[in-house]
Amino acid sequence: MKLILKICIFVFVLVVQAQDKISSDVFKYTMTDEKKAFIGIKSIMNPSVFINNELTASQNYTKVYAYIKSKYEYPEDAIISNSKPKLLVIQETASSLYTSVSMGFSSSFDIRYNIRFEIQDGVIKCTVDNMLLGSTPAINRTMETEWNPLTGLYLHKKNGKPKKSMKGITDVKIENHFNKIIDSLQTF
Amino acid sequence: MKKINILLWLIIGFGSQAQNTTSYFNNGNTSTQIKYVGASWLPGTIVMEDGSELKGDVRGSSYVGNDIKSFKYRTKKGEKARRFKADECKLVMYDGLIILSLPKNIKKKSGKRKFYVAIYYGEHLSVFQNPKADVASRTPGSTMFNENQMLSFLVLKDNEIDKLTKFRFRKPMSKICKDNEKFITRTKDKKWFRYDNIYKIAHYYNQTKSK
Repeated sequence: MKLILKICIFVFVLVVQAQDKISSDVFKYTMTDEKKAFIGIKSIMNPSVFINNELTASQNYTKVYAYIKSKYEYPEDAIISNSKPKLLVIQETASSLYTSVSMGFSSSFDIRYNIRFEIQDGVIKCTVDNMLLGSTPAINRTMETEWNPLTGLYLHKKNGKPKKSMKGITDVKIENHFNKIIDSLQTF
Repeated sequence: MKKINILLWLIIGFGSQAQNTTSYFNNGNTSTQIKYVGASWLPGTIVMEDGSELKGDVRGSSYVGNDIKSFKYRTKKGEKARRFKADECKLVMYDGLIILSLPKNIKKKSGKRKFYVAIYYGEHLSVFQNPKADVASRTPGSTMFNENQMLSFLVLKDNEIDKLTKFRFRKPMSKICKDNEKFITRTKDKKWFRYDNIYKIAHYYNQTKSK
């Protein structure tokens, strides 16, 4: 029985530790161990940021909804899921958010993403998920933008050296975009 | 022993709270251009008739023209694939598309079913491709801004299926959605309330309907 209790506590501690690892105050890309031939080493952004305040869940919901309303004339256009006062999920498309520079030429692509606002008393958890990279191929059957999953950025070469075309450009632009949303929501 | 039980229930409780409820409803970011179901293995989900989910590799299996007749499913590469027809499933998620299983004859609710590609799948109202629809095509030497656009769609609301065409859209759509005051108010905005925006219109209807 003691053994079961120890296992339970161990699992609980692991869960808490895992949550601590993925949560932070700002969105930031960090390098992982995942390597791909010819592409390089993958960096991923922490998915969640917590906004702590002294408001109730209902007040926090009103705050998030008012923020969305300040961005869109019809907030329902952007809201995918709405469970008052616990959850708001929006989908946005940021034009030219993915930028890389090569040989002096910069190329930009749109990024579509979801932001989940999970609301509780005194805290709003903002999670960025389902990031998609939009590209319009020169020739495709429908001439539509193709949206492909963007799970991370390959900011480093396989030998660990940063890629001049991306490091400090692509990652910083994406981080700034999401951190600006968090700042705006905090000061709203 | 009691303490362990309580602790276990607490852990199970925390675990179940952390899970997100899966929703297949999508949003209004698509287009009115014709969409095709591909035949290459891609990660996908098949929702069975009883609501259970099969997650793994999915691909279109048999076709009649552009209409998909069945899907193949496997959990991983190398495994024997199973084939699913429309009568066995509710919906299929494949390559960013939602494919619904609905009556073959849209006027008869019972009977055989077939797959329809949804351009918008929502809680109250869904829009999907009409297999019999004409598609805008360009003649050589001419310019066209709506090439490959489907010229009619089917709308599912309250178990009723209605047809909307590019040339007769506003009146029938207003009639279908007359139970939503907020929606009707917005239809006065003619730039928004147009056929090319049908998926955004359906999304707005769904989002404002429950309020």
